[in-house]
Amino acid sequence: MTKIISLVEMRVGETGKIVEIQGGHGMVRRLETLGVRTEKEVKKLSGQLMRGPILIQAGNTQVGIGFGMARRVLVEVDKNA
Amino acid sequence: MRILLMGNPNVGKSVVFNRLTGVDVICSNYPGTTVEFTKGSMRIKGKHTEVIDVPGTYTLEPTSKAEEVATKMIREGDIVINVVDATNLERSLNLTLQLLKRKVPMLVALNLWDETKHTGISIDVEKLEEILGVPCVPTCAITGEGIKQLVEEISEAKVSTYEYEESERWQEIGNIIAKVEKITYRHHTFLERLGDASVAPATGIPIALIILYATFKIIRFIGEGLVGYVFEPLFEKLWAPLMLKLSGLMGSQGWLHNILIGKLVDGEIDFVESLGLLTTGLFVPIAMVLPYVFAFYLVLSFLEDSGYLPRLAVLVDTLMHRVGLHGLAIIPMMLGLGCNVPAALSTRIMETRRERFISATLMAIAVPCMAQIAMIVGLVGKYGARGLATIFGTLFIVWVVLGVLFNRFLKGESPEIFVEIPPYRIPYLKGLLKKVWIRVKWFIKEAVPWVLVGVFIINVLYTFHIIEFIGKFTAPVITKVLGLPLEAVGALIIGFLRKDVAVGMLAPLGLTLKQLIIASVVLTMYFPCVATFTTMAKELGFVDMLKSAGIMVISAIIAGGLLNLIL
Repeated sequence: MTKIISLVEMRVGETGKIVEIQGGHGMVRRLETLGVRTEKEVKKLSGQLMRGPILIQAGNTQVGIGFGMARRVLVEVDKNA
Repeated sequence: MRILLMGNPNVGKSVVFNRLTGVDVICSNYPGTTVEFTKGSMRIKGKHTEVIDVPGTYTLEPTSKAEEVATKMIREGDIVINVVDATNLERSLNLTLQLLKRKVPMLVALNLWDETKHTGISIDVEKLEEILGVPCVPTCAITGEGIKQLVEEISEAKVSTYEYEESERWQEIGNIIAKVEKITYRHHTFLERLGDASVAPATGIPIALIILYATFKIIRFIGEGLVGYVFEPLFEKLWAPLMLKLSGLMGSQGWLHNILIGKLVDGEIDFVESLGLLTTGLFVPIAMVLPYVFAFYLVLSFLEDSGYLPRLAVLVDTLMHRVGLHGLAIIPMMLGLGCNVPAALSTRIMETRRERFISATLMAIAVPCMAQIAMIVGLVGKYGARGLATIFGTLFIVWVVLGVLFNRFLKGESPEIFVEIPPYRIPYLKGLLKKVWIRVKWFIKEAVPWVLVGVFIINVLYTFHIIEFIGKFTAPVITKVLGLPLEAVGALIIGFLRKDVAVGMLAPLGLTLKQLIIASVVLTMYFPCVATFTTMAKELGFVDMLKSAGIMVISAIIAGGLLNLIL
């Protein structure tokens, strides 16, 4: 069983596959330059207090993503994990 | 012939550039170190060849001003050396494929090759060459490995015949990766675990505080040590007797004596108050400022090369949003503590014009450079920590208040942080020392002459009674609002030139602690020094610079006036 949640809702240490980026062309393009794009497996490394940026691992790159953008990146994660 | 070095940010283009040309450029471990292109030259088979270090870009569809610079440059090159991060092949190939389409003769340097070994990555270079249709050379620029082969391959650069559908670019990259790269599992290293700890809030914030504290301690220790044990004895024991002799030869007076030696205090040379070119003019930059500049750049360079700064950017992102910026704006603020000029340039890493205006203005108003800090510490520090805390506390409050106002009233958007966090690297000692040397050399070459000019102008101002004349005009503001003596206007005039000299000029005025605090705060805020001003005007444009300068003058008078009422 899988479920779809945003990067913000992911737990630290959890892995998931990006299924959708809810943003305009500009945002999608900006994200993909650092390897954050649909079909990509990502792992959440940390989140900050008070709506701070989310840190993820995409491939061999670690990326810090602002809270608002992270909220619009949807990932498919294992429900029981 | 002209060669362009292009590639993603933080893959080591500047290190390759330095290896090829011998030209010294600043290299660090964070994306966006190079925001402007640097030219150098080398000889290939006896022919003079120009090499250009282009700012890093992830794509040829630019998202920031630094990337724009890069994209425009591509039309001007005869050969492109695409420097890629071998540990991040997938991401790097995105730019490589876009470059291939431009049909420029190209070759690829697979840099950071040494790191692929301990990250469990193996790349089939021959196969990659075959697919891309251009020469590929593994390099490790920091130690120089592979550079010779890279140079030999330059003449083999080819226009690739590789074709792909634009919309299928990522699939193409996936296919290439599947063919050339193998990744084997490995355990996490200590540096990686440290990397995780320094961005998780529970451990990251204490780590940041420890680093901040250690930074202050180290700078103070090295700075004070050099001043107290090296430079002051040197000036007092060796230089002072020499100058006294020279003074005696000139009959201890006269205009030439005043300009070279300055006024004698109780028949002795006072290196701070004499105000002569050969006394104060040399003592201030060399014995008071240089030790701290050196110490600061030693620590900053270590932080830059380790890869800590982008992590700090993530940690302070929330705070930065309150002032209309995002976490990366911490970089201009940190650089500003060294010198405001490179800091103003580094605002290019911010994406929008609004962010560049806010970050440059906040930096220029509230971040004093190390030269000025050293002088303030020297002058106010003897009254204890309270005075210093008031000065720097006030500047921080000004930074926050102005930032919140900017965020509220300036139109335009501030995008969110989106930054690559590079792996921690143990700074390469030789590279680090070289970088400190580049910066110290820059200080000596750029700052010392201006200090001398400043001291010279002070003498002219005094000799022709210009200070008293201007003092009368500005009296209402200087004396009534700020509570300073009229002579302080001299420091404000010289402050346009060099702020360290300006702070030094306060010394002979016999100010109270309260007046010293107000004068230090106002001198920091009221206007940038001439070097910063020209850089900012270039970066922001003339109109925005005028706005920025207006804000500086007004906020300096308000902050100084309030201090005068409260203290």
